[in-house]
Amino acid sequence: MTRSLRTILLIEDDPDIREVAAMALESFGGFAVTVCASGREGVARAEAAAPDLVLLDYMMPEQDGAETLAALRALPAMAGVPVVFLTAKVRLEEIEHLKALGAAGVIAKPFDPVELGNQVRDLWERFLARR
Amino acid sequence: MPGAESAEQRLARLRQAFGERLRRDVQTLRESVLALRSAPDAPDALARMRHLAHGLAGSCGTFGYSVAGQKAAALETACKEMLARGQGGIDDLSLSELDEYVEAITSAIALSSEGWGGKA
Repeated sequence: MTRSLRTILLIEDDPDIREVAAMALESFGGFAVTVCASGREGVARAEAAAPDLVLLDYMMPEQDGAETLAALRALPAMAGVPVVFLTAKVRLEEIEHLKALGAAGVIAKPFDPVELGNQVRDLWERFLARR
Repeated sequence: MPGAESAEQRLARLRQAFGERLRRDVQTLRESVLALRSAPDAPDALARMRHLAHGLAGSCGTFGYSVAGQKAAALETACKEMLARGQGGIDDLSLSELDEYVEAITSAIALSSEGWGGKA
């Protein structure tokens, strides 16, 4: 039986990107979204949010995406939850680096709000296929 | 009433609000170049420019300002290289280069179909 993607934890420090990504995921993608403005907030709220997938900005002040991913992985409830980076770092070696950190995928910034949900769903299906 | 907005209407509203942010951010970029002109060792001015350019590079395209985003990415790269050279890297040529990048962003915004979020 295929698990369906319903809930997403979105961690993004840029307020404009945060708002448009949340709106796109909810309105165009049909997902329930928990929105956090920093890596620390995301880690603090992750277990209560119990997301199917985390969409994580990479370049953030104080605690960046890599540090946030490591902190999420340290939470027992989050250990197996796929994390997708949302980043402008899209050179091949940068993508490989992010995957080596344990990311399930990378979505490039800038993104098309209308297509964001489809991109996330595609990465979710690839994640399930690899398991 | 926000609750009655369609997704497309919300998107249009967010795009318009982003246009206002663009205007503020480009003004801050201009002021940062001026600060560097009057004091090439102005603390944090170049780092602030890099941070702003990075944010614009990653966000402009999402809101319909793709070319401006590409110009902002070029500015981010230039700032990164100048920061790597240290304060000695901020000479007149570098300042002119920064000016050109900021003006290129401004021109790209003016030429985009959305303009300044609908208002010049």
